[in-house]
Amino acid sequence: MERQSCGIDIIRAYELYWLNTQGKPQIAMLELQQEPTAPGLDTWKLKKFLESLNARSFINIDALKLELNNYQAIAKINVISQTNFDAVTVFEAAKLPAAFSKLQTFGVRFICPQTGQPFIGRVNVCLAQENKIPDILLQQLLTNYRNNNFEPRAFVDIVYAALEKLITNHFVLSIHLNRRGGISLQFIRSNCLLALQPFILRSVLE
Amino acid sequence: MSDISASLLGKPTVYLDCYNPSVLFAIERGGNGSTTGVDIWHGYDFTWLDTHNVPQFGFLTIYVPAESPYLIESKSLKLYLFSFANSVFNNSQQVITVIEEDLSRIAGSKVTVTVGDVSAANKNIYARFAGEYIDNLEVVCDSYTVDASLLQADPKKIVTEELCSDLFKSNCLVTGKPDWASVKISYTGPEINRAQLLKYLISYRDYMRFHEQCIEQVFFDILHCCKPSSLTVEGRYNRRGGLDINPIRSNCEYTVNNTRLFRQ
Repeated sequence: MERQSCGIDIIRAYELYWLNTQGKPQIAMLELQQEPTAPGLDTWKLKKFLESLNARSFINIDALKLELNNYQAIAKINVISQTNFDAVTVFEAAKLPAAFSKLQTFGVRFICPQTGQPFIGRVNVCLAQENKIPDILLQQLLTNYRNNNFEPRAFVDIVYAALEKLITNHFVLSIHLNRRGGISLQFIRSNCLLALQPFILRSVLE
Repeated sequence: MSDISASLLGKPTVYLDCYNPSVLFAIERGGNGSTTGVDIWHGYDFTWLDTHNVPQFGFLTIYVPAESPYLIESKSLKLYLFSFANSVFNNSQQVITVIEEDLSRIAGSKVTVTVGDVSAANKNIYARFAGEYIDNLEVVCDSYTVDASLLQADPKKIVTEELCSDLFKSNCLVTGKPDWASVKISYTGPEINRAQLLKYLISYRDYMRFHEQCIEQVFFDILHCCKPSSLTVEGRYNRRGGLDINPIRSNCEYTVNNTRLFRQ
């Protein structure tokens, strides 16, 4: 594999609701994917926009998707309808690609600079089976940031940069932030080019 | 203790730096009558420090008996649990003991707590309730005011069945913000008209009550209108502030299958 970097940001909204033309509620889940370099979506505004759909009527799900695309065109949209609510395989229990089958997982906490509310989540580091970074190193790194203010992407960049110094081989970093306002975030970064789809999974408490 | 206007709901939030049980707020449960049951809370954002100041993370489950005289107001519980983040405890058992004592005092009944390893949570996520979903029924919904008269049952036909819906919505009593839930109704008795049941559940859409009160009202409305000999109503709400509430009400022996649904 080439040693370049790649990544993706995933925004999961668990409360997508609208009405059909008979006034009956419809429900779905929304997953947005965007490049790490694309402008970050304002999740607060997204939440408000999704709430505004609660009382609106759409003739079918395609009309709803059009409305979502009109709201923002940066991210790739995936609407998971109620009929596709399937049992969830979480990241920490998933069978990952063999080259990254060794998983080290840690809780993380830092503070939102706008609201003072904590972000809580998981940092998952995926390595080849024979590699392992000392838990204590990563634990110390995450502990140091516990009460500091970060925008989520800035935190991801710091952890990724630290791992690049600690790990000489290929790795995948997946940081999952638990929901706030019904929206959770997943950030995947890797120091090699690879298919990211197997890593696009909810974390256990996300 | 019970004036809701004195609670933190709808007010600017101040996150606490250290363990502080004084933020807990109780609300008189009130209620429609006597029933058994439990309110199961899950805490997804729970963390504290061990004696080496190493952060610990746990999956919290809190069992509040339905017979307790007081509800625990959810924002106060959120802030109380957040206050553990920079506080040191000897071990998870001490954490459990502290939370049980604090919440039992507030609720006025014995509250039971477990703090599970985070990895234990991943075995309990299921897509849906076991039971028959009624959400595909074609109904016209032109009223979002709770209306128990929508409920109909056929006394000539006695059945045992489990009916489920993901379309339940109510609103916070104080803030008016939407709260979404899945509901399961397990009963033996006159067969309930499913389309009417769905319309009844959807009629909660603009209703402003706490989660526990909504599920309890569903229970008593069905009990009074449909007269089942046995009835269990279970609600699984989406989380708010890192906590989800899962009220269960029953007039018979029931088994709690504490699953976590797709949206939780």
